[in-house]
Amino acid sequence: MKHGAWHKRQTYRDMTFRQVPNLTIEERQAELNKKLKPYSLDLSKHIPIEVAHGPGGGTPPSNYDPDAQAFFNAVQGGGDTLTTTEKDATNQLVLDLKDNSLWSVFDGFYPFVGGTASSHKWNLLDPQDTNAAHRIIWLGGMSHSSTGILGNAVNSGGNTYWNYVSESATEMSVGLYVNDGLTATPYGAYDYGSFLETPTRQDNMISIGFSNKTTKYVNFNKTQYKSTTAGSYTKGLFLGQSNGADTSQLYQNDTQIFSTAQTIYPTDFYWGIACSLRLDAFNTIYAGGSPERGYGTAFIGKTYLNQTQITALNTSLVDFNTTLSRN
Amino acid sequence: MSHLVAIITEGQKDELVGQMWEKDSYFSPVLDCNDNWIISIEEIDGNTNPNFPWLSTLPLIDFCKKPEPGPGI
Repeated sequence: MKHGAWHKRQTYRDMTFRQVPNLTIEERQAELNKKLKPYSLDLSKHIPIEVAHGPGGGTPPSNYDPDAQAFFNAVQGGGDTLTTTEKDATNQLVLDLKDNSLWSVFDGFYPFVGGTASSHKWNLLDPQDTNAAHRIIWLGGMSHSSTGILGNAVNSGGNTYWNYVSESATEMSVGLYVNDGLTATPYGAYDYGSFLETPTRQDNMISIGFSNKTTKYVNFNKTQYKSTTAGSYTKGLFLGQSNGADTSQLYQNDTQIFSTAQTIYPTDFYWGIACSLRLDAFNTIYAGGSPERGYGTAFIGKTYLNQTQITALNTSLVDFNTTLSRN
Repeated sequence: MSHLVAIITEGQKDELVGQMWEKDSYFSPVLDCNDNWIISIEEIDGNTNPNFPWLSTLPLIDFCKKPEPGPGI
């Protein structure tokens, strides 16, 4: 057996730390620190980090897009829960919108996941609980479930707090993914609308079926309603838009079913989802023209989409609502 | 298709406006075809607001929609 300092050092170098005999814990720590000194690593200073990421401590990094994660945080912070399927679908929706340069063109985008009024109120683009962030205020008897929102044909609707005038918009686009309630004959039903009676009647709106199942309406100028019988009364994307100058359009899925000459006369009032948002004689906001229809997704923004964008948007929404089994 | 609603007084309407019937859902009384204030069965059956126990005692009737301005009207 060899003895002496040199041989002892050689022996220690060839042995693992745990095998070094007859050393106190402090000596073992010092020995290890010596070995690691060239890398300036002091294990005692790193213990807190290990604890933070250890079992039961800290939050592991999210695999979701940061904007999707911010939305999930808002929903869950409000006391609601999301399934993994809902999270994955919403995350993919965010990625699809970003990949197709659609993320920044809208002001409000509502995925309606979580199944409750409180989870369906959040704006995916800006999940803050404020009117300025276009968080929805639900009015009347709107129903909420895993399929989205469903109107009651009496007084249901959602206030987006989006106003063309106060948004200083020069063009606009609104739309919804219709997925339920298409069996009843609609009577006076709006899908998206903003209405004021004074100083002159202004009824900016879209409707996939106002008083029958064949006539669709779009209007961005007072009461100069434009209508078409093109398209169908079926599930899918329904989108209306104005370029702010001379054209109003309607799209169903990714097909343009109507384009007509119309200058815009914007209503200086909020747009309502699944209704025509109005003021009563007491200046209380209410949801007029509530349909019985159901919706899986809705959006609004200062934009005028081209065919390429609408095709991509339609694909994203079909994929999203199909993943959630509510297409 | 009929929709059930309940008639409320103007005083009750004033009580309900601005109040939630469930988290993030607000009562929204509207006028029916006879100019009665009504609220929907969804608000009544779904109400979790303890300030309005009288809601569950309201008789239900079929909703008669008040004609509102819109295309063709």
